[in-house]
Amino acid sequence: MQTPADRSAYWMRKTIVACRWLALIVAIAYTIAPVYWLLLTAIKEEGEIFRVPPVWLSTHPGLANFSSAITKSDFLRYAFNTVVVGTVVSTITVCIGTLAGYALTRCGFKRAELILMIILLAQMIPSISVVVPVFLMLKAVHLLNSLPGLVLAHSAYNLPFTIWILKGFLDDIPQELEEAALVDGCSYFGSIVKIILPLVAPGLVVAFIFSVIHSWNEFLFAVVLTYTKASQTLPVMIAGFISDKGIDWGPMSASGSLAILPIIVLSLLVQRHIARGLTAGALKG
Amino acid sequence: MQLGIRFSRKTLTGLAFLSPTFALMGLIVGLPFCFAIYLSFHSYQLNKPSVRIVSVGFQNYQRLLIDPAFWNALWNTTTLTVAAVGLQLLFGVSLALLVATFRRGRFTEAVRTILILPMMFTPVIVAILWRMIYDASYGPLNYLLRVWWGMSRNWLGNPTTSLWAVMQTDVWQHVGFVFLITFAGLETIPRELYEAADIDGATARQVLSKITLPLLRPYILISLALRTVDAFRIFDKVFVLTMGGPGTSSETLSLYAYRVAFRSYDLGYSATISLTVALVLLIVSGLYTGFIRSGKR
Repeated sequence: MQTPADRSAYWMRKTIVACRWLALIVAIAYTIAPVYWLLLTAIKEEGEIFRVPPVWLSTHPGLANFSSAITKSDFLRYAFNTVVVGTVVSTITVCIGTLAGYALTRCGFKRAELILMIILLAQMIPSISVVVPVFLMLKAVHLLNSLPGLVLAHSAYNLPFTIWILKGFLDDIPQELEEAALVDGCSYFGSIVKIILPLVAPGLVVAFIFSVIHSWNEFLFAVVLTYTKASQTLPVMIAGFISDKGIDWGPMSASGSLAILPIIVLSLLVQRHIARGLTAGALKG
Repeated sequence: MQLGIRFSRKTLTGLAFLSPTFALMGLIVGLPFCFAIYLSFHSYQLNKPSVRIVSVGFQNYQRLLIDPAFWNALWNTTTLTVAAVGLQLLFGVSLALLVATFRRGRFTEAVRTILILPMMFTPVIVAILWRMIYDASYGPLNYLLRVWWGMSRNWLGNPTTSLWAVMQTDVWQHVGFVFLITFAGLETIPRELYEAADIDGATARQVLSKITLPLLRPYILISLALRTVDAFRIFDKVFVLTMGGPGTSSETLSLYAYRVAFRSYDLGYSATISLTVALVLLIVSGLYTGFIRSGKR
């Protein structure tokens, strides 16, 4: 026997569930729609981009914009620069960061937290404050508009985050393992190579990927320190599609889609670690 | 004795291992930052190489106080930061609570992956894709607004909306960030608390205000701090979306400092402007550290 009160409670619950689904769908649509528009514009043909009403589903999808981005705008050259800068920067930061992380977790500094704080504090110095001095310094040593110059700037700026991530991973490795190895006659250096590095390997990969993503996305240093396609990276190239003469929508979208693809793949690989990496250190204060 | 030697050797190793970090950071962050402070007390024109760096005392700072373009940029940056971070917190936390009402599993993982997608995007690409969407003639946004409500705006080309249009792109990109952190925070709340509240007959509102939100506090605080320092230095999105325009209606501090350095070639004054950004970031991170410390006691 159902009372009217039961029935209204039942509909109440139904309505709440429906509202939840609706809110979730709206949130997902808001997130995805702009990305869809980017990909859609990239495969549209010229006429479809500038049509009113807008074309929601391309009837003539093609790769013309992609080939234009590659042949006319030299996409591959910029992509090459971006990949080189990203990998060299990440190799540097992971190597230096591992040493620093080891020092902070294993060398018995009483003030390890303070040292970490100082390193992280450097991230609070915005790149706009240092970009002019770095510009002048690189100019003085003739590294302006060169890949090594950009690598230096990115490395320094990615290092604190790398150390933070790596310290989290190193903290998770029990110290007893190394102590046992030392007791068993393993050398100091040997304990690092044989015990720590294999255990921290996933952390190295995660830190490397994060560093690549940051370097790939960075714009201010890239736009100030480089000015020809010999050393410019993808964000600078893509921003360059916007000029006084108008915007080349198709090739711009194609370049954007291609440039974002590796980032999406990489971030899917590390997404599990993002929340942990960002909060683990911070919540300790 | 033996122990003492081992300890000092350990410390020496540690210092040696830290030295590359300090060398690199000192060279690319520390030294340039000191040089920026030095520049802020000097006049240095990049386009007049014959003119040396001249000491001008506090003149750059005095100029700052009476420079309407600076106050405009400061106001824009603050408005944008407060609005963007406020909306990100509101929507991010709500979304985390919403998604948490679904059973955790493949479905919530997939939803999470979608929601955090934008935060990984290159900011420049976020800017170009929104520039297309906002476009006055061919953008889908204006088309839909016209069809549904008979209105259309040149969002980026109108001084009253340009800053808000830029702000919205930052919200789009970083709602997922707040969501991700608070969603991770929700996982740490022990289930027993909710069971106990259920037995005690607590209402949904009581559970939210007495259990969930207080325990989420550290996660909300860290999102607030990280988003604030990131939004306050916003540069790339403004650069691509509006270049500060029309006029200076959407010019932020970073962009103004950039313009003064690379359009007017006035490096001393640019350094002074950029230092105000650094000052705000340091204050925010100081406040955050203070909050965390006081919360622990």
